[in-house]
Amino acid sequence: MICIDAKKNLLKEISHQAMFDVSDNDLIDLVKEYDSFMKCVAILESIETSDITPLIYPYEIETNFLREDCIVHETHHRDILKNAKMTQDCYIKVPKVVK
Amino acid sequence: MIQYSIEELQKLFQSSSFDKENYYKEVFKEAQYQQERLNAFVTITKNEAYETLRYTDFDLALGGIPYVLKDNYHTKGIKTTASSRMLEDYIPTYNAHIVDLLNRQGACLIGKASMDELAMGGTNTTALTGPVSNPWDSSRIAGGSSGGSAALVASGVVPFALGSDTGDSIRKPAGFCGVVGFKPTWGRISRYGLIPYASSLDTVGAFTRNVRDMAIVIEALSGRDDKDMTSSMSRVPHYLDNLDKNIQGMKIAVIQSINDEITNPLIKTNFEKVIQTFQNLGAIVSEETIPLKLMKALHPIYTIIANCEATSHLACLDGIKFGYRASGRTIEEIITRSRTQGLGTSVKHRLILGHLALATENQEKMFRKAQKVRRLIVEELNRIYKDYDIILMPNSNTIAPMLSEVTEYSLNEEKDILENHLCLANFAGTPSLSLPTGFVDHMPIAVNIMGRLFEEQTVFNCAYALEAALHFKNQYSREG
Repeated sequence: MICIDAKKNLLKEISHQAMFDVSDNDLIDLVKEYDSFMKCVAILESIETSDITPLIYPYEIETNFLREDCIVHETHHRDILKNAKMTQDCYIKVPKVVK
Repeated sequence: MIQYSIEELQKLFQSSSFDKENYYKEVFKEAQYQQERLNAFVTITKNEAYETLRYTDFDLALGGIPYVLKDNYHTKGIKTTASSRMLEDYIPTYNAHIVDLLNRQGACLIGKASMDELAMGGTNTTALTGPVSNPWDSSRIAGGSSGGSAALVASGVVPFALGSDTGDSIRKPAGFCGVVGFKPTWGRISRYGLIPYASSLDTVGAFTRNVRDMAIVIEALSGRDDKDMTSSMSRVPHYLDNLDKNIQGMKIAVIQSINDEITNPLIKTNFEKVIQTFQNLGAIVSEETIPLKLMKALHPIYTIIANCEATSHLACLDGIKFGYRASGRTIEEIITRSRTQGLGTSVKHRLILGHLALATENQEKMFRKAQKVRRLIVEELNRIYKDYDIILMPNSNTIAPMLSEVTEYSLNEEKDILENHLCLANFAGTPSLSLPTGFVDHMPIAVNIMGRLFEEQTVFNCAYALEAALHFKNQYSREG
């Protein structure tokens, strides 16, 4: 049984890895959701699956092959950059990484 | 009047006495009226539609037929928000494959429909633009996540609309709104240009007001697309031409572990009436069973797989390349703030828990385990399909809930089987259609008809026969 503070610390860490800030208020709800999520995990644990292969797609797909590496469709960078909030020349602008 | 079916419009457009210009004027007037009542649109594309109509060939299969897209389909030059602040001003540079197909066949897009944020939800109450109301009673929800599309067909604004279905996101709102909702076989229709939620479950599908129209729409959208490696190469039948009400000898299974869960006596009576109707039509209806332990695992499997896949797919929502961008001193700060401010609470929680289940130390115990139990359930379904053409289920245990009763998304591991059973078709990838079968407390209810992989025709025929026997086709509600 994990204590509430340990859960909060775990969820803060996971949220950080998933690139989210969580407020203390938000963390209260998130802990509740975590508890439900872990009960979901427990329900599955009670089912025997030792010789079972994971099902990744609904059925064996016939189209699982590599296609030729050739250009079939192009989008001009000018169009793509229209959706970026900060641009400079042909680039998306972000803060300096090396100061 | 504008509430015509696709087939009716096809005939009217061929008639010289039909005033197309006036028809579209009425369509947009009605769209505005229903928007004020239902809040089902994110964008009404009136200018683009009139531009399209200048060049429309009304002799094409869907020439001039108005339709609506769920706002998670990419539309070149038209805002595509997925009802999220993160994509509030995102304007795609390309069309989804199905949009190109509909353009080529002359269909006319009149708007983008509201949805639960990024298709995560079953109520259509988490959209950036607010909740969508049910056309039959505007104090109730339309259902989700494709609630805007369902409401716009059910209120009569358009004869068809597209949705997407990951767990039941077309079929549940179709049942709540009294229209036909269909998800075909996974791989039958290309998903290129659909903003993904969980790619092993996501399916393109549609809403119509009758089965014949559904056959037309699905035939128009189906087929191989090289841009989607999961789209099937199998031949697309002529669903409309092959529609057949004769279902003599068709074998239909009902699942005891699902039926036992019906607690609403009126819905139970309606379901029994449907079974009797099928028997009167010459079908052979028998009871089968799936172990209760597996049925209780439906919600846990869905939760874990969908959250994990979403975590992976939506990592691109970082505020750098497109979408909402918060300020920050470093790239990491920009991404974290953009994701925190740009995504709603329920989406954030799903992505955080998905991240947890994908962590190296948890992956086997959570994600892989869910995939293994998914296989056990699909094997159960395949066992049933060895002896049966169709699996018949009630669509829901309830009518559409009141808006005031719906709480924001929260996980509940003990959800009723009848709130989650439609995801069986997503687990197995099978075609699944929800058909209106009556009313309870003046609200529509439905059944669900699920067939074998790529046997859309059998599903359509079964639904066509039932629709003809029950007379709930072409219904809509302008008021309420």
